[in-house]
Amino acid sequence: MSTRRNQPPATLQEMIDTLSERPIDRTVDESSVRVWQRINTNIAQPRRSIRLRGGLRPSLALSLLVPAAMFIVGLLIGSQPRGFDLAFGRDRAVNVHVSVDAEHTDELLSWLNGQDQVGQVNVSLPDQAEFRFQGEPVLLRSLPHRPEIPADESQGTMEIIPMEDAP
Amino acid sequence: MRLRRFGRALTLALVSLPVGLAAQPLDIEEDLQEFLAGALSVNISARVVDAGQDQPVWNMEVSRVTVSGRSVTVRLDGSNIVVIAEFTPYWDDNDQLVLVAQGQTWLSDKPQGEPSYRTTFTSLPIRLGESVLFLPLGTTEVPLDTARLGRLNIELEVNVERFHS
Repeated sequence: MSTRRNQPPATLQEMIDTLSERPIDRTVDESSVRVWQRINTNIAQPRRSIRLRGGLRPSLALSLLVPAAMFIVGLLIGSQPRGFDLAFGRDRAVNVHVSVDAEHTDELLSWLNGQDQVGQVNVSLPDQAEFRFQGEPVLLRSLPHRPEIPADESQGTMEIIPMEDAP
Repeated sequence: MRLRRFGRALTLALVSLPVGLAAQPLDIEEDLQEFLAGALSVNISARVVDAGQDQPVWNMEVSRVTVSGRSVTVRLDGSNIVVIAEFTPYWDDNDQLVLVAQGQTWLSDKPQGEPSYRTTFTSLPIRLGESVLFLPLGTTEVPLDTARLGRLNIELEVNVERFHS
């Protein structure tokens, strides 16, 4: 009994250590080291969930921001080229390219041609006509009007454009 | 909980993109007008001429609407000849075009003989409405007298204009 009475603080300290299962800081230095270890650990491993000023969690904020961003992207894409031009302050003339694929172009041209065949026009020549080559195939075009040449001399002046043999 | 929230956010994001796209007017009518503004009318007058006559022995006219880079082809079928002429206009500049012309001709001098074949092409800048004349059988006469006495010749006169709906 006397021994217990002489060492009550030590016994109590051991009981506390045993119950809390963690070491008790015995000195100020040890405590300081442990505090800094915790701080460093927390900095290295950021918390999974933090709160913003407004009380919104980041996951909720992202849930609102991402769709909003996608909506804006959709608006910009949908308004090309005017959308980007307005966004970037471009006011120059823009060559508008209409995206019509090959199939729809043919349909559109067929409609414009009154449902006639677009690609090829077939013509039957008179049956009795016999033809022969008279020279090399050529293209002819009128020469551009030149004021220095009198009108009566320039009339009927044609430029002959020889054609190349196709491979 | 987090997984469910992530799923909601992803779904909302995927829905928002097409909604954003659909929020813009499609302007189909405007696109069609732009398409028609670039459309071209290729007018072709085919003639069979004879030197002994002032008027063509035979002629026909055809017009086709096309766009830059799309060809208009004319096939002429005769008793001893087949001519396929292909004209492709390309926009070059304002009111300026480049016309690519290609001709293929099969011609048989004798009823049972082997047909001779020629294929030629060329490209030239032209103005809107300017006429060019393609002679698939050629000519030996300069200036323009495309028919030799007693022989028929074929002329294809082509001009390209803007298509006006």
